[in-house]
Amino acid sequence: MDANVQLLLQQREIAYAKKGIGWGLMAGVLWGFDGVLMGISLGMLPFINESGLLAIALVGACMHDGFAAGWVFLINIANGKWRDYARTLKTRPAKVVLLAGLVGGPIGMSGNLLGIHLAGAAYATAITALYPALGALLGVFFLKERIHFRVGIGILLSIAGSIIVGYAPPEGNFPDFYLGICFSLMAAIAWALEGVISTYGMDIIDFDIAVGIREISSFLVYLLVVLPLIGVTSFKILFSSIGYTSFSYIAVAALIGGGSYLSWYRSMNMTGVGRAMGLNVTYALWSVFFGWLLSDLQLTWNLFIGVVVIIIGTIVIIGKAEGMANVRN
Amino acid sequence: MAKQLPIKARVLSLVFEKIGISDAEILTALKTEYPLDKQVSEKNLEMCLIALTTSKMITLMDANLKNNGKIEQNFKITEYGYHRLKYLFSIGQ
Repeated sequence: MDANVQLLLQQREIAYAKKGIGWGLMAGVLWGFDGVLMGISLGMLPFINESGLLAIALVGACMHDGFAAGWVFLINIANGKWRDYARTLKTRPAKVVLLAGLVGGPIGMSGNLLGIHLAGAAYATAITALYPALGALLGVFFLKERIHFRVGIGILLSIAGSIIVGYAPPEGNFPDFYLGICFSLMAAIAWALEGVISTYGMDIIDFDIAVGIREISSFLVYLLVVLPLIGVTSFKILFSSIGYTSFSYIAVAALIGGGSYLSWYRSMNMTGVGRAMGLNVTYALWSVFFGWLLSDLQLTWNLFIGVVVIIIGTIVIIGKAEGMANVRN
Repeated sequence: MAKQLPIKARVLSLVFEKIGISDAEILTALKTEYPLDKQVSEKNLEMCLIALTTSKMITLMDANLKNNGKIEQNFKITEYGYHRLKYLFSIGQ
């Protein structure tokens, strides 16, 4: 092979990996924005009148994933990929992506919310923020991904930063504290598994279709399994929200959240699970920014320090262009 | 009528069917088999082939610079790619 051609191909591969890094950063920005919007939405009518914080949060998650499934389908119509939905659902790898949706959505998010409910946000957030490290390790074992030492340090720094950002002195009485810790750990493992499982499926399935299928499966499991387990209250909250401004806000948040998933899945496919997750966890930084911009979030020293640590971690993850293209062994 | 595979999977199966297949041949086959699919384009195929190469499903055999300045690449399936393809077909499609 001609040396010039080799050089051109190498440049193309590096450009591809850099795009993957860009998508990973975008995933973090959009997820931070999405989180702030969802927080604002669930603080409005009719949710603010309801008791049962857990039910409200899970109904919100169900609505979010339902709207996101719709938005992603519209995006796939616009980019000409929508015909692949039916073709993909007939294949075995689709079951892999359906599993990823079940694990990451209802199991992961429910575990996260239960952890916050039973153990408090301080500890729950710290534990769930570990998911990039778990995802990177699972990627090494199951996908034979390469994690350079420098990238590993960057992932740990990003995790440390998000823990610092999310830290708040524990308040209140939590009689089921250790059960809450177990649920938080379940959430971290679930989100890590979602990344690895979906990346495995995306070896053969287009990433945008994978997200579409993921959102549909997550929404249906919420609607048909999770909400019925909570009880009639959850459906009362769900249907009573139609017509309120918060309903539209959640739809908009879901567009942003769907965009975040599209970016995250692209990033995992293009630059590997470990690096993509390490970049995605920068959502903690962006949730601070958008929280300050759109709500009454007060900037504190731990927020500022956490943001700085995340930025350093992100720069370390991105690193040099060479070696970016070699994702797997 | 044979069931159509998702496009990325079809690219992999085309590489399996002919060792050393070129990207131009793959694009021609896709345009014939998926005439209504807007996503079948040179740019999307390039992304797809890079993705399959990065995930070690296919490997580049040769590449040449053509007179029009474009690179023509030739691919073959890897053992890993073959096993993933076998898994895809094992559901009795």
